[in-house]
Amino acid sequence: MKVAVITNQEGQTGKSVLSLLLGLLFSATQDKESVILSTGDASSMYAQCNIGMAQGALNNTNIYNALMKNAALKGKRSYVMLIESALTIRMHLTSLMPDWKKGSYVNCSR
Amino acid sequence: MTLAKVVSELAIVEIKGDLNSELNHYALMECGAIFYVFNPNKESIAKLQQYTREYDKNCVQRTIFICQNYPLNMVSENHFVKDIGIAKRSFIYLPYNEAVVKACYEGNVDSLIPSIIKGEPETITLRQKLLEMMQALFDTDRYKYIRGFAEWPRL
Repeated sequence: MKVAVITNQEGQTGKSVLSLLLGLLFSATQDKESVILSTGDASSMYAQCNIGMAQGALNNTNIYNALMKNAALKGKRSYVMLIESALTIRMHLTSLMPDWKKGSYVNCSR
Repeated sequence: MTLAKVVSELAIVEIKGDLNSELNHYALMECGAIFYVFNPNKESIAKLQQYTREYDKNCVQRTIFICQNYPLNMVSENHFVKDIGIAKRSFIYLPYNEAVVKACYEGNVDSLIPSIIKGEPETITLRQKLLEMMQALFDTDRYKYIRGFAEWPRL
């Protein structure tokens, strides 16, 4: 099931927190994989979730960004940079987050 | 990779920016359900009503409206949905919860999950509503896919 989370009041409604809670809880209680994607800058999500500290049942929640890669195929540079950062975080968890926040991107391919 | 190739049981797509943009509209059309998140204030409700009136009907029909920070003791659910003009079956609220605010402040939202699974007092109001969201996405009248509290892991 793919579910889109939207709002008409960006930055005020708690959309990212809801996405995180729902994805993590689904993964932990249903023993199934959940994925959280974003069509924009996912930094608020990464900042709110201490990915490196996730444990046990939460480990099968992967956070990566397929939509951004799709946008990258269309040649949108800003999305390409975001894909790289999302994948970096996915592969190296929180260790590279400070560099990523400063805007230093590490190329990596899946 | 495109959205259609994501094979996870649950893929949550956070839509950022203008809903009418090409990418966002494509994502909405690819999704089986839409969660519209709003707050219980006049401005947010006015925008919700504008969405139900004006946005693509294919999307509006698949939308479940999620009210964040719902004032549980101030207004009845029936009165609220009637007032804003949406069907009760497509409405779920999440009550205001201090534990969530604290977790956001400290940057460890993931730490709430064990607490929700255990049913600890500070997060117990979220438990039922998050389960309802999962059920709204997967369960039908005839087939129950989502495990209830009794089958959740013991932590």
